[in-house]
Amino acid sequence: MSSGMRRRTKTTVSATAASKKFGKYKKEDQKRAGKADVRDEAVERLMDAFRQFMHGKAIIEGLLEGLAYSSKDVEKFSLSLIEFQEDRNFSSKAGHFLSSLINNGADSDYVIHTGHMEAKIDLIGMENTKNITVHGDVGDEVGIHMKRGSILVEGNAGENAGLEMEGGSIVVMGDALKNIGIGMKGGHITIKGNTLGPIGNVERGTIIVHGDAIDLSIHIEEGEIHIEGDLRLAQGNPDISRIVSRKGKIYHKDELIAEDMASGLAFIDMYSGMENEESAFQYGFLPDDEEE
Amino acid sequence: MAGRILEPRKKLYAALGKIADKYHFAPLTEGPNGKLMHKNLVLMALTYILDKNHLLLGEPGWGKTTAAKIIAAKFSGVPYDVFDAVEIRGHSQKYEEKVVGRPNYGKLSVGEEDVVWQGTFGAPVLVVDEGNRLPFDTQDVILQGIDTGRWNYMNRSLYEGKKPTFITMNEKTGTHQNGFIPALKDRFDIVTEQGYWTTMIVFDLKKARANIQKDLCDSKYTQAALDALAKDYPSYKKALEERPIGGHLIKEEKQLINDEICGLALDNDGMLFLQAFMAEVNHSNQYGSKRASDHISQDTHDKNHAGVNVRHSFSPRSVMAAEEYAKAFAWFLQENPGLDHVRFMLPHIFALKATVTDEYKNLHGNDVRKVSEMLHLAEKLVEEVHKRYVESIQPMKNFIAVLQQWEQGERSEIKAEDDQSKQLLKDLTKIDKGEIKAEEAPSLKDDKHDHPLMKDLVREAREGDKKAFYEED
Repeated sequence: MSSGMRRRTKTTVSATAASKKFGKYKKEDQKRAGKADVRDEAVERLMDAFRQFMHGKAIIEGLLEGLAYSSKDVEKFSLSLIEFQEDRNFSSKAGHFLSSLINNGADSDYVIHTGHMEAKIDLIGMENTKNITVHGDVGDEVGIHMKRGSILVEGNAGENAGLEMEGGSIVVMGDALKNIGIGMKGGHITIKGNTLGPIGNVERGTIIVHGDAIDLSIHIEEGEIHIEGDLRLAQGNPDISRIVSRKGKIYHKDELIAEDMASGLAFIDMYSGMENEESAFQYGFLPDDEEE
Repeated sequence: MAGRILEPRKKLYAALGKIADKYHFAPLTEGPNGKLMHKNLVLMALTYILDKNHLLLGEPGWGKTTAAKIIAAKFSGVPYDVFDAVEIRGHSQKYEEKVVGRPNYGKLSVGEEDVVWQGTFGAPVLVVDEGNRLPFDTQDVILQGIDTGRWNYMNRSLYEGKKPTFITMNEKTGTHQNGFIPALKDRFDIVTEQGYWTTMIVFDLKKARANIQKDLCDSKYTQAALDALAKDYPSYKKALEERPIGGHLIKEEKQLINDEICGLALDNDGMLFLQAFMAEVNHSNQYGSKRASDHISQDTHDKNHAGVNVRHSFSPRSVMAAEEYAKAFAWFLQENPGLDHVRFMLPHIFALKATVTDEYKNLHGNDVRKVSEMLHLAEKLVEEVHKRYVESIQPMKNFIAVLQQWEQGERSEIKAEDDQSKQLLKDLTKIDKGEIKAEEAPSLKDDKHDHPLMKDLVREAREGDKKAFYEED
């Protein structure tokens, strides 16, 4: 090597390089990972209102009175909820608050982010009348008492999806836990993935499960339930409770498998291997003459 | 009666309000933060201010060219009928001589070469109707002109400077469609669509046309300008110096607006989101970078990002357009430019250039939408990138924060909020002590990170002060 050449000895992350390359950004502050810095004044006001609600200092209606916000503010607010996710009762309080924001908001379409949080939010879309898209999973009771509109969950749902809903549609792109459509009085639920556990009691409405139904029991009064995947029992357990359909219809891979109590009973026989009477006793099936 | 002197932004507001009320009805759309606006008109106004190239898309008869000429007249002050007379109308026989210039046959006959320039690029705004119907050679000619502001014919060259350009295109139906050459397509900075939104204005259209005629046209001026053009080009330019249409932006006002826009800076979220979008589209684990000639990547990491859904890259030209339009839009709204403005603009910047894959089209084939498929898919892409951005950006910001503090000497104050930052701090300390090289630092290995933007940040931090051998002292 000639004397004129300079040997480079070590590579550093030098002041010059970093200030050149990262100096173009305004000063960033360290924040807990996932705590998104997307706030502005309107969102700060929503945060203040939520803080008061979390600490039981006020009821929602009072907090939202006179508060002006847009669907974009609600979206940003949902990102900021990560600050509270370790607080007691966060899951239900957050869902209740978000639902109220949406129902009382001026816009018709809302986006909520949950994918950045570890905690799941319950009660999203409570008494819903709007169109909600959830980027991420939801906890339990999504769409509880929903009246109309739509909820699209891009992730998974917890238990009791569509609890006592009256109308509108819920679509879950992933899986859902037990008791889909429990107490459902109208509307539609679609689960693109699998469901684990019972479906129903459905008074009226339509449920479609594109994936498998695991550890199944179904109870439907009116309406339709479609299972397009496999029906699977919980391992080693022949007790699948009951499949009860009074006026409703149950389809498995487009084949009608139950449309009244008798055929439902036959379906149970098929899975449990028990005799007709035995299974009726086992599962507490109401005999026809005891119906009103 | 003396006119009011308005601050340029207010003048812009007044002009747009008048256009929407009297000359060209447009639907109201909500912008970021809920402000209602006539989105298409606003974007066209920004194109005028920034001297950009704007593609207007839509079915025949929905007022694309009319809107372009209204914007041109109202903002430049040159009457509407001048643009009517000198616009380039696309058809298969439109050769270079009809667009740029022709030989001066009189002089040629006595052995003297000279060019008679056409009037289009002498006007303050270029309007090209049905540009996709122009022959490819003519598109090449226009490409150079709208890109450089210089128009060449024979051995002569005329510099007119970069001007705002509006090119219309009907939706692809029927025959006689050349389509745009790729190089010209790449020069379009922005695309908007015009189409049906209501029947309630249909009986007012005749009145609107009459208003255009009354307020925006000046037949004497136009005839004088065309007569001057027939005489010589400098006379034509002189004839266009007077600007009779009221409420227009004078040259100094347009310059002032541009200066104000240039003086704005995107906030960190705006910059990082734009970088994230560019990184997701352009990065490929399998091929290094996005190329239309490559097959779509099957790499597992690539499948999580936007690049797997498009065939073409998101070029620096497009990034610059996105930044400029975002800043201009924020200026227009009297807001600080940030993520929301970038997010608003990106679909219009990228829609024409993306060329989404068939799989992505099929995925959204049944979507309910209010815009063309092209714009809708671009909106979906931006939405998906945004979703990943908000879920993954804080660790990247923490990474930047640690490096900023480290290099500003605030080392004892650095508080690492996540595992990545803690590792980075450890590594920086070791590098500083000479215990390891930057290339060996675990936090500075870009293959440890999934998001392409994080890979970029890590790579930049690691490269340190590396230079080419010819850059060294």
